[in-house]
Amino acid sequence: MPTRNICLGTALMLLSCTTFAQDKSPARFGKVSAEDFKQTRYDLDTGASAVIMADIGSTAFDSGSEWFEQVYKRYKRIKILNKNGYDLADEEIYLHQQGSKEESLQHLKAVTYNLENGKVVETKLESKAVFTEKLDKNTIIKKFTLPNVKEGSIIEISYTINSEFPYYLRSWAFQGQHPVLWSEYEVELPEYYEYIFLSQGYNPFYIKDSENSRKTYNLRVRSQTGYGYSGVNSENVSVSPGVTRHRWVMKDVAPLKEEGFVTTLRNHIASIEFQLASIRYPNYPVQPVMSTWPKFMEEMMKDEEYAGPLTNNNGFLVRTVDEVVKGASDQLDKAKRIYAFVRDNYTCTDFSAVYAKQSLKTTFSKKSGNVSEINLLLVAMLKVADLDAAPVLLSTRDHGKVYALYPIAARFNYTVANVHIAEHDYQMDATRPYLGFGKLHADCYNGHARMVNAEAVPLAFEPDSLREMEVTGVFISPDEKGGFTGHFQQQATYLNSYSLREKVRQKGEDAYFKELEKDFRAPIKLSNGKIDSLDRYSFPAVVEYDFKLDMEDENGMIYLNPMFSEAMRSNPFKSAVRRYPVEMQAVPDVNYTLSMQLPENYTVEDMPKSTIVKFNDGEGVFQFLTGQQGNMLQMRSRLKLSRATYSPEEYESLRQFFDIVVKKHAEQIVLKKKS
Amino acid sequence: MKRLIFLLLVGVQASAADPEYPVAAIPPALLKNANAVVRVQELHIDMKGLKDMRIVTRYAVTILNESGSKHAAFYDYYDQLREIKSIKGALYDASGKQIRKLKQSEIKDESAVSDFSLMEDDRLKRHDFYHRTYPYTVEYETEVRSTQTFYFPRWIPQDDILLSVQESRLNITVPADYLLRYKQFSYKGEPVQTPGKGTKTFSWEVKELPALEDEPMAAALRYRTTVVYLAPSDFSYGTYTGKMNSWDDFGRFVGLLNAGRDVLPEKTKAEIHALVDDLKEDREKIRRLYKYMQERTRYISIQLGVGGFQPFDATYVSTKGYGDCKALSNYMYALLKEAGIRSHYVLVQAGQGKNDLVEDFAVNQFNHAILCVPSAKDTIWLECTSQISPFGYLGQFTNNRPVLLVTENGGKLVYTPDYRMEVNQQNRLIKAVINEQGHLAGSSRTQLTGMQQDWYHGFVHSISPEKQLEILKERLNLPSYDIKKFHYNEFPDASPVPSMDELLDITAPNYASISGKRLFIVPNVLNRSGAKLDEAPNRKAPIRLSNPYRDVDTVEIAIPNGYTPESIFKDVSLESPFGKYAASAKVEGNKITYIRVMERREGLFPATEYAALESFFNSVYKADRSRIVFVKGE
Repeated sequence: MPTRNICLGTALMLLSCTTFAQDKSPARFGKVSAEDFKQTRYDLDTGASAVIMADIGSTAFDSGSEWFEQVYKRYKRIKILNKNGYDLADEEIYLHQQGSKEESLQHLKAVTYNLENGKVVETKLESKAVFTEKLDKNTIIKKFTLPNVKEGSIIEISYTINSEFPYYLRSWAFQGQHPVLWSEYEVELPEYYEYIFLSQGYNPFYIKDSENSRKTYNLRVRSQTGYGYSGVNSENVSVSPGVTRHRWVMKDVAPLKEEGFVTTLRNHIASIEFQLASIRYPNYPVQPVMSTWPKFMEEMMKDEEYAGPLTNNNGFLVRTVDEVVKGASDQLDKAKRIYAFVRDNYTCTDFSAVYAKQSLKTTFSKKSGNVSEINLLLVAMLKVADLDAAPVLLSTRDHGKVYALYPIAARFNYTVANVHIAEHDYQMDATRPYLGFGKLHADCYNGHARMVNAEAVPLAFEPDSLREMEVTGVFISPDEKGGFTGHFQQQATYLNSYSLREKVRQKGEDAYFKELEKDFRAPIKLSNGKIDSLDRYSFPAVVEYDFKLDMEDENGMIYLNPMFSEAMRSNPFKSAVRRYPVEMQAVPDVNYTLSMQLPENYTVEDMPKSTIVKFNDGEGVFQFLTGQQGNMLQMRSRLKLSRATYSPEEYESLRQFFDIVVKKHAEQIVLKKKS
Repeated sequence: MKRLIFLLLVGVQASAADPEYPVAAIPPALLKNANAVVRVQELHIDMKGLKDMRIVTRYAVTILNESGSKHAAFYDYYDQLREIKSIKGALYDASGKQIRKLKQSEIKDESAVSDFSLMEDDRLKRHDFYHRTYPYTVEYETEVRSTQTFYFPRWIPQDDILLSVQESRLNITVPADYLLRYKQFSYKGEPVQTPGKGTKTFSWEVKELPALEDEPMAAALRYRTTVVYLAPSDFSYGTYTGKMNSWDDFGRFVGLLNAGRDVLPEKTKAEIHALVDDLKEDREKIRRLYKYMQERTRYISIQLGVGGFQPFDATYVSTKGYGDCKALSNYMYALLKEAGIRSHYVLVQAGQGKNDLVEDFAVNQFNHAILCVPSAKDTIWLECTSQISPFGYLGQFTNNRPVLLVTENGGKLVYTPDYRMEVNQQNRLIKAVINEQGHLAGSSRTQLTGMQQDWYHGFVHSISPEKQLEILKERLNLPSYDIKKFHYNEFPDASPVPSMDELLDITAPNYASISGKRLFIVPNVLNRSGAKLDEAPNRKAPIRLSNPYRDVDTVEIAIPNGYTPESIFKDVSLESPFGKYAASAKVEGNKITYIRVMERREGLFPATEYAALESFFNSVYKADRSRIVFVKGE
């Protein structure tokens, strides 16, 4: 059976070993003994509130009421170690529905076991204690909580989901928020369906094997009967394809803890997922389901729920587009105007969606829609204006990575627009109210993306390529009253400009500057606050204000921290060790200069020493330079890195590098009154 | 407990002609500080009978800017006892012309199960025009039919700050012989009464309320703007009927809902007797049964129909091992009853700082239930939803407030324990050494009592040790640090309130900053006030301070030899109606001794005291960051 196993990138380790010793989990539903309660502390995670003793799942194809169906079985045994683990007794099972097809929950069993006077006492979940919540049109949640759960309880849950969606093969996570002693997934695939397997993570498999056999299915198949199209009948067909049973087991998997600077833990936990590659029915040509990027994009371009409507003439847009582009000087100007129009008048209600749930026309008139609906509308309007525009599919950082090799629809969750003008490509996202033309939100910098056109042009939005420069200047001079006045100017990074605009819009400028005044870290009275380019979204925002610095003279001395609000006050890397990469949003380059004119009657008693520290042989640098010329004091700090992503091995040196920055930023300037 | 308060913007038949809402017609005074302006709001309630209440709401609100857009979204809840019959809506541009109308297909219908619940039958209808060209106006009109008369809508014309109101009206029509009860706040005059055919109508009206500002530590909305509570005399709730003329009535009704729900399985009864029959003291019996309850149950909220007010019975809790605040309090009541101890089910308006229940008007203001075991000298209060609460102690969630005690003879308002400043202490001693590099290493020993231990108690019991360490590091707020060791000792039975001891071993690299020959040290290592207030010459809201406390910090730091103090800050001593503060430092040889005392009082203070509050808080903020400068001798 032609199943391809693929190793993806360096982050993947597929260790396989076949072993005959203890290749089954000792856990069986209902077989709980007093012995099982003994252990209450697990070295795997000594702080754990619960331990997953076994988590065993399987998916197999079976004869359904119409064609194949999938049977997914799940069995979990969990030990609740303390009260914080009670949450694990609450279970939610999501079931999908679409049209007349559905997933149904069968054979649900759940039991709580407690050890009472040395005896195992079980309490079963009653069927009437299972609630059904209809979340939306396509989703039903079955919810329940187990009875009689106490500290030390063992709970077991087992159920089957019969699915009438045979192509969607459930993925499996071996790693979660609690330690897992035994995690096992088995899939049994008839040779008709070829899936690719995508696995990731940093834990080895304990068992990874497969076994071939043959299995007979009795299928009911629709057939055209009689003369002409008098009706649809079913006939019974018996087939005996070869089947392959794959089995993966991991043992003793410690949880991965969420830390800062990570796209999403979903990119890092040990898991395996599947994508249908082709269907091979006997006596039929092979139907590739997932083959090449151009094919995939061709389908997306035809899809009525995606780019299909872009090929219509969309006459309802003409009047508006004409109005918006009226007087535009050139193509670029046209594109900018249309972009601004959509951005300023439409509201995004869902930032994670690929397919349109409403028509283009509805999106147009309702002025709201999901991210794809709005950016597809943008593309449609650009096209109406005769511009060469196309959608771009991507995945946001929190949604996880896109494999450059495999066109997998479920890997995408976001659409932006591309316009090609005079040999240049510009990307736009009209769903974010403060983005400029040709700019993308930080969430979109997540690597591989693809243009939805015949060539399926690959694009890369790499954080490593996104330099984010911040430039701050502070000027201080003495005033006639023996105090200081100063001026602060900061050109924010583009990413920070976005959040700045958002904050100012929501709270107002006054509140924004009040906050700056409070956070200055020296007592100041702020005045003349102004934000340049607040509404020119393509440019970084520039914050400026004057201040009066109220430095106390302490026995003829003035002490001040020259970094003020811009000091890095604590190390952003808090954990001692890191088990997965550091993934920053962009490559930082933070610049700060201070120019200070000294008061006549003071001299510099002391100031921080100049330092230059290199990270990884000059891949990053921290400069902290000070100097004095006459009565002018100059200081400059620059923190510059050359990458956004760092491996776990580089973590320790990165952390130490930032420690030095924190330390230098805390140093003081001392001025002494001349006697 | 369930959301007990109905949506506020709930209103009146539209007039025949389509209205217009030109922004130019808004009086300038209403634009000041406002993000949105309620142009008109009409809440019309027609109570036709105890099981039939019609509520028609119409409102139009002009959204001036992006911050005001939250007022543009429409939502309303419904459940088994409340049906939304219709929703209409329209969108108007700045000139007041209608742009479009709401289409029924645009209304979203969602499950409204709250985060803390496993299951509820509440659902939500939601709509938004998603308009983005400011200013604009949205108008909504809803018709709701309620088959219960236990709770009535509240009228709060101005339900948010930075929102002004042009005009708002409340009309309620009840049968002529029905006694309608109401309580008004910040409203001049009395409602207009109009007799109808077999009915009577009460009307309230406000006009031109300027926007309220965002003011820190502001008292509840009813001290700042018009609020009218409505309440029934006779009412119907599910299959029950009752009266609400007094707290006595209210309690009687709750007693009726709970009646007969205290039956325990025989097995549980036997366990109770085995547990307590040999004990002499009631207090010990209660303690043991409370522990029994804590070990066998957990909090699971399931709210269906009248279940928002009626507990699951004691047998249910006994067999399932879970329940919500009502079910668990009722269960505890049943356990105590079986042991021959009388207790009372208690309804509470819970929440930190929510201790100002309206006492002179019986109306539902509750969201929680606890249990009270009365005694002439030592009444015991039990929080039954927590598996970790110390016996007989109520934390900030329910302490110091009026609550409704449900007795055999009806209800009465009583007060939960008031934990005063003197019992909420944090006494800390830090002994540390700073070395030549400026690194600090030392230990901190802290005694925490009363409400000051609430947070730590929850922290120790509900978070894994690994996460605890992470959170502690966050809280220390030092530039770079490490906690070498941390440990908590608990004294849940300490008198008069539980206490805890915290032991920390910390190192803080670069705690002192060294520049050349100078050493800068802030001797207040771990207790710096975070509250800095803005000037507010026109403060309007009264000031509410809750959770009084007393902190005493003693810090001893040894510094490297060879340094002499260059600058030591002067002693600070502040006194104000809000509390007292003193901080001083002295240097003897190479040892710094720093002492800080902060006493924060509680109370409701007039807005005119704000300048004093600002001065007090900001002086403390500054003093907490005072440093000592040392210079190295040549």
